Amino acid sequence: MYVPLVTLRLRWYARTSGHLLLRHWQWILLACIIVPGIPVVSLFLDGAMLMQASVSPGPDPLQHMLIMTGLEGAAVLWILPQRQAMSGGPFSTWATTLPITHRTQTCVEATLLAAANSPFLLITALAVAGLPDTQHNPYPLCSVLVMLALAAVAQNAVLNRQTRALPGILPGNAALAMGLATPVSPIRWLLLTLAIASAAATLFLSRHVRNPEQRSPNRRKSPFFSAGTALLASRAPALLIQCKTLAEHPGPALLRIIATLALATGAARLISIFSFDSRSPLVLVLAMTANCLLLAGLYRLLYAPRHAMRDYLSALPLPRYYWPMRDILFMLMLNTLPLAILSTPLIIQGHLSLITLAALIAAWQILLALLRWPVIHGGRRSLLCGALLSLVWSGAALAAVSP
Amino acid sequence: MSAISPLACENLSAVYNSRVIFHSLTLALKPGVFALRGPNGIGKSTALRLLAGAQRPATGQIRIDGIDLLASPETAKRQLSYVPDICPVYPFMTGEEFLRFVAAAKQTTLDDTVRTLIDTFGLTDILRTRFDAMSFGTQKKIMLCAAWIGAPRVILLDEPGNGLDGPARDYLARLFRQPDQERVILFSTHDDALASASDAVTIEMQSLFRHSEPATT
Repeated sequence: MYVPLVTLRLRWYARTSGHLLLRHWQWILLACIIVPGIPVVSLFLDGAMLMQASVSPGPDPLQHMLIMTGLEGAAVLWILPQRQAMSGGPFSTWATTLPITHRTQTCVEATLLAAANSPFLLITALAVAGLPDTQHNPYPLCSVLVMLALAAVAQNAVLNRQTRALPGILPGNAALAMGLATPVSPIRWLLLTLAIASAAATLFLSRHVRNPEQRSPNRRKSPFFSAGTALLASRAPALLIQCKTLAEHPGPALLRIIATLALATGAARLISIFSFDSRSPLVLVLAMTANCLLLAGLYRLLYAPRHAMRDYLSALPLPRYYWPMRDILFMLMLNTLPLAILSTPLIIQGHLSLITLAALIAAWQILLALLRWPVIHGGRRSLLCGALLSLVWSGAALAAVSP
Repeated sequence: MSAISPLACENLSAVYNSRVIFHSLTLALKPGVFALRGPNGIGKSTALRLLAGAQRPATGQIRIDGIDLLASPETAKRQLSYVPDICPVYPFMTGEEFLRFVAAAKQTTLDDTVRTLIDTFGLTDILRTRFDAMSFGTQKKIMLCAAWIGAPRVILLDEPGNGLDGPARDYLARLFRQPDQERVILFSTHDDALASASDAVTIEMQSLFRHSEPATT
């Protein structure tokens, strides 16, 4: 039963992840441009070098632990967008009603995980090939394999939405890092065994801990939340739909909002460190542009669920640009907080005239509104079109505010 | 006739996103045809999903032919077929590939019963068509054919009449009426005509919660 099932699941995976790749190829292109060296090749070589560094014996366990956790974090971030492709879709849920053995299902899941991780496996192979004298000193090789196992366990926990089991890999990382910092052989191997035990325990937990929603069936929403929802439903139903749409994707939505706030705070701090000298306009304009690019991704989140019911929505007596206008206003509202963070010190210090600042802020909001067009209608070139538009805008803004 | 209920469950609860769909569902069915009725949103589809093992219950026990579905899922599922209300099959699969896949999972082959079903539903020429090129009704017919693979003792169907044309619906009702001393067919429906044409015993969903005693039919 393994072969037919794995064939079907791999076909579905190839199809779904292929669509994912076509949608996000610009990010891969960006990674290839940012990482110095030969495009694509350096991505793998640098990754392999980082992996080698993480298992090269050294005195600092903290450094080992940080690199390992970073690599595992990268592995989790790599697998997260592939969750839908890995899940097997509705067919997979239906197939659970068939008498397929647990072993077969586990083998299929493991095969899919390996297929999804093929770039990581290539990096691991390069790292292993570069390890010195693995025949006489197999410890670094074993460390790489255990680290790989810990990363796979973390990915498995994320795929099964058992994020509570994730901290379980930290003792494994700690044991592995301490082993690499310990020169005595028997203790090293003991610590390695502990790391394996930690991986096994985490895997067991992620398989057997029940989902939080099943454990707390009677969790109630707070009265404040219910009252807020009821108020929005009666006064601003469109705003409620937009808020709930973002709440359906808490990960990407929060990540973008937090990133914009962090960026605004960092830029404001940098401008203050520069004592509002000639470098400040550059920082200000770049921060505004990056903020817009980050926030603009939310347009897609807002648009996607409505796109699925567009036929029905088009039959409703709403103005033609009702939803685009609502989305733009919603985004401008979201942008007010980064706007306040960035502009307050400038207003207090008075280094930019109020008229220039007001014009810049208005232009910033216009850029955010304009970015809806490439994000929604840009298709596979949305990032490229958005980046070009932002580039033109930042050039014009710099020319306007530079002393 | 076996003394064990082919399909029984006790104190089943279903929770979705912290919302309790239902609580303490208990039933024990002897062989026969049963139509599960009830208003929208009461949890008929969820109950069928739980009984089929497609969703894990928050609490409770399910027995298929006396075998605990949660403790021995593979053995229990050999005696079980489930047809959901939507067609969950991969778009790139053909009808034949799908039927053969189900037969392989049940460690059996497509027997005469299934072949008769394929012929009667008029699917012979469509078996090599991909699912994404089929109408919803055709997809549903193939799902129904798959339900009879392996002669299961329990067949669970969620709104089986949806999407079917008149002749197919009549044939389905005739199929349900065929005497079988071993099999339980439980289907959810809002279609009075299908329920009465199938000679199905009606089970009101509410009655499964109201009484502490199991609804034995």
